[in-house]
Amino acid sequence: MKVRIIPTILTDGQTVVKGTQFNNWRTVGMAQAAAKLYATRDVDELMFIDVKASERNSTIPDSLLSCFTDVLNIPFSVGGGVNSLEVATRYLGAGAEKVLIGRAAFSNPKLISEIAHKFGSQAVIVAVDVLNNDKGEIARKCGKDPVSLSVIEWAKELESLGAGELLLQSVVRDGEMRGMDYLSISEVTSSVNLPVIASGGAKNLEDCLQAVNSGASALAIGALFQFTQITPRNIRKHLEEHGVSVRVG
Amino acid sequence: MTNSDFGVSILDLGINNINSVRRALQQNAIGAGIRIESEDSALGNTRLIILPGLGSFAAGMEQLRQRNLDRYLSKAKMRGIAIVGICLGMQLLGEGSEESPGVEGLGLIKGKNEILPFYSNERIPNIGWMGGVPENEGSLFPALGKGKDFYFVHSYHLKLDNPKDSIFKSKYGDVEITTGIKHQSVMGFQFHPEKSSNIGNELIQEIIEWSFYEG
Repeated sequence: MKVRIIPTILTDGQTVVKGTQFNNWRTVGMAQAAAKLYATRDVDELMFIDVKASERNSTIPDSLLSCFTDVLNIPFSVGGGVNSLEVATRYLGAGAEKVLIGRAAFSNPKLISEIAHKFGSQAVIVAVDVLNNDKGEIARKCGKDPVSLSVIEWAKELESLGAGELLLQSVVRDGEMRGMDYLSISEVTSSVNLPVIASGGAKNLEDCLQAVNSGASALAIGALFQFTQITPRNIRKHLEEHGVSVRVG
Repeated sequence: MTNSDFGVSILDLGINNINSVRRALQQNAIGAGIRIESEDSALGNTRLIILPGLGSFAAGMEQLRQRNLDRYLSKAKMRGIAIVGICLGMQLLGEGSEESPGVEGLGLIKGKNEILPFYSNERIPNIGWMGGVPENEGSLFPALGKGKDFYFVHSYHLKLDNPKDSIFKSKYGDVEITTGIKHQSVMGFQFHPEKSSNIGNELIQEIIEWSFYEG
């Protein structure tokens, strides 16, 4: 399967934001404008996450979801506030290919199985927030409250619960653009058979290539596209030049 | 195409992604009326029925039966109306699946769904962009022969009894899997044309034209 480049669009419910270490928000535009822009650039897939939904105890409204369905003819995933089968059903019914489960994976792991049973496991992405892999810690609640649990064990458990994909995010590297967590990528991809989307820290094309060579099936990218001139097409081209198979569009 | 006497029906199972399919049909600017069917009803002027898929095989079959849409599809097949299954929708057209042992499929095409074989360089679910090669009646749809990639999200694949029913095949690991099928008016694609960017739109346009003029 070809490696996917997935721009992430983060929102706080109102505006499009980009986090540096998951807080300190910067407004960079509105969600639909961003989605449209990426759609015209013909990206492989998009990921749209309301990072404050759980905090606000709310979900993404249908009106916002439909502005994605209306403009996108590529797949997109939606995350934020997915804490019940009802929410997942609504997001998927609105046109999302997949839902992203964040903190509910800890508070209600059964939800992963429920969604997988109803929609198939390919519809469930679970976020694994790695705080500090040297200490074997994964984090929950969007980067705060570290839990001491081996990333590998947790990834295996998520696979057996029915997750279809893992979004492996490096909390300490998020938005920092100082290289990705290649160790975690390589450990997780060699211990589960699921596709792993790597995220956090890419600063240049070399980082992207290294993440793919470490085993990532896809790269979710935020800051790199927002704060540099690099485009998804640049990454695809760079990967291709180094023997990685990428989409023929 | 402006003949609004023609109709396209999208089957709503409550668990599938009808909005994206509707958007894709609208983008293709057909004059045909688009109907959403959530239960067995008169076929009327329907010339093309789309069965979008999302979910497990068992859940899909359960919804089809509860809504008597299995009957609707059988009637449509008998009348030679084009039926297109997408993703799980294509799998449901078969006779069964390893995903849900004991659950009978629609049986509109001969074959059963199997889990994708294990390859260390592939992942399950198989998610992303992948190409393929047309065969048999695949030449009816030029979009399949352009060497472009389509978007896939699946863990199972349909193994046909009759290789002649295959119209598109893709490489997975060391083997070739069937990713497009056609037997008379019954068709299916394992990938999502409605999520496959411009090439997906081209294919949808070609399917509509085939259904209305050739089917």
